[in-house]
Amino acid sequence: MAILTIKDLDFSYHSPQGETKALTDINLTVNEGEFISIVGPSGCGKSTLLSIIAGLTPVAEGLSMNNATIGYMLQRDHLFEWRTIYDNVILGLEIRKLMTEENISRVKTLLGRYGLDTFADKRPSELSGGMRQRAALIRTLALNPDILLLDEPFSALDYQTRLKVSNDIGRIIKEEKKTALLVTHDLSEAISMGNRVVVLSERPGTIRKIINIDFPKSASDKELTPLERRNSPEFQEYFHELWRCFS
Amino acid sequence: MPKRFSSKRRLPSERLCISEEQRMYLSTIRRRKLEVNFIRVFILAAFIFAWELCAKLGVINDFIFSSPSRIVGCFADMCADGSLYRHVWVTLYETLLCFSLVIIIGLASAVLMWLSKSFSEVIEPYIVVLNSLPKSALAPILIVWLGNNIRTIIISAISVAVFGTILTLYTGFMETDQDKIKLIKTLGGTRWHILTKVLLPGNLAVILNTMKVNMGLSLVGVIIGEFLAANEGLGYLIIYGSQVFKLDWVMLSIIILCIMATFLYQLINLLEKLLSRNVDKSA
Repeated sequence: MAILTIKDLDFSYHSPQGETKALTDINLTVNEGEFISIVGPSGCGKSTLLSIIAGLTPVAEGLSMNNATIGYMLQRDHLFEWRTIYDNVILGLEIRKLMTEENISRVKTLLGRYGLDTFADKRPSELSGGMRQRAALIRTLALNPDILLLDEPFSALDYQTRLKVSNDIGRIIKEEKKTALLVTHDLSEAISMGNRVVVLSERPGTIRKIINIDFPKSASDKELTPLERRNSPEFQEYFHELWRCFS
Repeated sequence: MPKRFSSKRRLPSERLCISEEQRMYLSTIRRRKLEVNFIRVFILAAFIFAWELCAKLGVINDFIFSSPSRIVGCFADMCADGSLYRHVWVTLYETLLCFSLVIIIGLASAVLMWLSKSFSEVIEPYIVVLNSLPKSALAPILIVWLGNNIRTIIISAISVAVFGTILTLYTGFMETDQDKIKLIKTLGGTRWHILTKVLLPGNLAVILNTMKVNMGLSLVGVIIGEFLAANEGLGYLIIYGSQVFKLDWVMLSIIILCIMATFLYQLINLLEKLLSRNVDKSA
């Protein structure tokens, strides 16, 4: 079922120097439960697209959402040092005045499930980069959004942490059965996490190609985790296919 | 982070029996600290002693230069007739009133400027000019307009500190990480939430720093105001004492001002500790 439809979307930036066309003729249908990776050269308008979907950059037409709520994850975790981890993850609930018992117990369950319950009273600076990113994800999940927008959420992490965290985050999103759109520079990351990879062209960004990613299931009939995908033979083929789009 | 690792790695037994070198190092630090403190006290004592000696021997005229013993005598007299309490209280009261008003007006204006881009664009050049204007130039007009009273003192003291405060706070607000603001928006927050959840807590250090600067500036402003328009307060005592050649009053007032300034500064330090205790608890 389509949860988000983008139809003939155009977008331009205005500045005193003139008008810059950022996105043109974007058409994309996102189905419930899908994980879509968006890749493209720098400045092609990837982040702008997320911003538009999130409603932070208003557009007149081209976007229709099936009553879906949006959660947004930024490049850096932006956990507030003046709040504890618990106070950070309930920030959204606090802002929307949704501090119900049900929501709070859900947040506590999430903290427990993803190994942060013992850190609830700690300050962000006491956590590792990976834990911080998980806390940031729980802050987003606290509002129980239908669609998660991930704007290069791993780019501030070093390589090892990045592999591990993207594996964690990918798993959590699957477990919580969320629809997700991930913007990334990293082709491997796009393949290891997505069901489809959308390739954007240079500015003005338009969809050049959509590659369906389909890995065979594991022995126990489960979907492969991002790390397992990276180690499977199909990975290289997808990588080459994607790489060809850029050269 | 490194702090945590080091305390974890070190066993309690190791912490108890420190090495000979560490012991030497610690005792060197302790000795240095003692030396510095001793020299500090010594300089003050030597100065007071030399002053008193010169006055007693007639090297300086203690009618013009006063002397420590004369100041102590003056202090005792003024405590006895209660006039000193009155002067100290008036200056302290005016300073605290001016300080509170500067913080309130400064914060409110900075928030208004942040809320409305057009307002800040219109108002900014005025504030920049008023900030660089020597405020003592305004004092004569204020006396004419407001009269020879506490209102003139408070307003002239506020004018000394308020414009710098507005500019510092506004700059702090504008330098707040845009992504933190974006985060609040993605969580569905309004401008009110951006203000209360990010801007104010995120700028706590800036606010406390302007408070420190303002405490000093308020005192400066109040003393200037009292020079011009007052019949009580330490500033009045200084200017009146110098006019009637009661230099004991002047010297005593200056010493009390030193103590008062230190006390007020420590008050802000205490506030800083109280406010940031939550954040620092972990560090």
